[in-house]
Amino acid sequence: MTAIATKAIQVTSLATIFLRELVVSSVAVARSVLGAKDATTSAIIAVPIGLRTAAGVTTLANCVSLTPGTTSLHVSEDMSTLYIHVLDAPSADEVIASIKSTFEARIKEIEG
Amino acid sequence: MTHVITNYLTGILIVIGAAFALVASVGLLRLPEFYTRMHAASKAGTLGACVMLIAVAVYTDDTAVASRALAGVIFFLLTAPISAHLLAKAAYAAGYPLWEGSVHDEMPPRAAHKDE
Amino acid sequence: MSGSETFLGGAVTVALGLLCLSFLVTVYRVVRGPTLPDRIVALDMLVAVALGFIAVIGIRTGITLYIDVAIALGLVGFLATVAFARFVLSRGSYREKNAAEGETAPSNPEVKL
Repeated sequence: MTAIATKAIQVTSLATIFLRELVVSSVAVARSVLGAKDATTSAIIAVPIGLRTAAGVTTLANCVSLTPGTTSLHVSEDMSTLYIHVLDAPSADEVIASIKSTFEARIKEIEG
Repeated sequence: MTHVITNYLTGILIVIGAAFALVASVGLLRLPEFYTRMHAASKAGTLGACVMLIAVAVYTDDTAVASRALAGVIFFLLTAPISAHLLAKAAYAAGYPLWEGSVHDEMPPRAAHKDE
Repeated sequence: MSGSETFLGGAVTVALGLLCLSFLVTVYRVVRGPTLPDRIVALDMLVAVALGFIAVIGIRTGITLYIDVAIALGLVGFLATVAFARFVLSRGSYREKNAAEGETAPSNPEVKL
């Protein structure tokens, strides 16, 4: 019973963070659209992921698609790497670190 | 009294949603290539449509209508990234090149073709 | 009648104006779009704009049946985009068509650093 409750809390917190990130990302897109044309430096970045289940990877890819400046492009066949397209990438490591800390850690918790 | 609040809230929400839709389409117009345009359509466009559907849910007195509107929001939030992902993957696999402003391409050659 | 209803009426008009503008801009991208994926993304965006129109008209007229129309349109739009993505994939290589590279398999696009 408590296990279900913890899981429910984890899922809710993930959903809340996801909604907040969606709003932030739309504002970021708006800023980069209305700003200077040359400001965007897009890139394709490989993000190593450590999720076991297909559902977890799908959730991560969906979350990444709707968060600031990133869209998932491809998942390698062994589910170990997620290729993302980044709208404005000053540094690849920063993007990877933010995805890992915001979403992957939480999805891992839910996977158990 | 509650009607006054819902009227103001609905008005604010639909204007915000329409503004996001406009930003998304201006993004389609101004951004340099397909992959970056997809960012605008898949984020700002989705949020715009969702905010306007939420406005309907706020406005109506009928719970059946409100729950259908929220179901529509959830459906749209789930499907928009999937269609964007599929389209980007298909375009990459078909060899549409990245823009000159792109700084990295870490995707291995022909990775997108393997599982098709 | 009351102040809040006047505000809502004004907001509906403003929202319809903004949506009309974004519809026109998106149609320009559909017509102009240099490549097929550009047009498909713009069509996907048109579905989102149409959803917005339906929601705003639903609020204005008070006919809640419009919400069911919005859900059905969202479903059709998603399926259309997925089908178009498969079409882009099956149509084959963009580079082969443009550079006439002959029988070589589609290769990774070169990225200018």
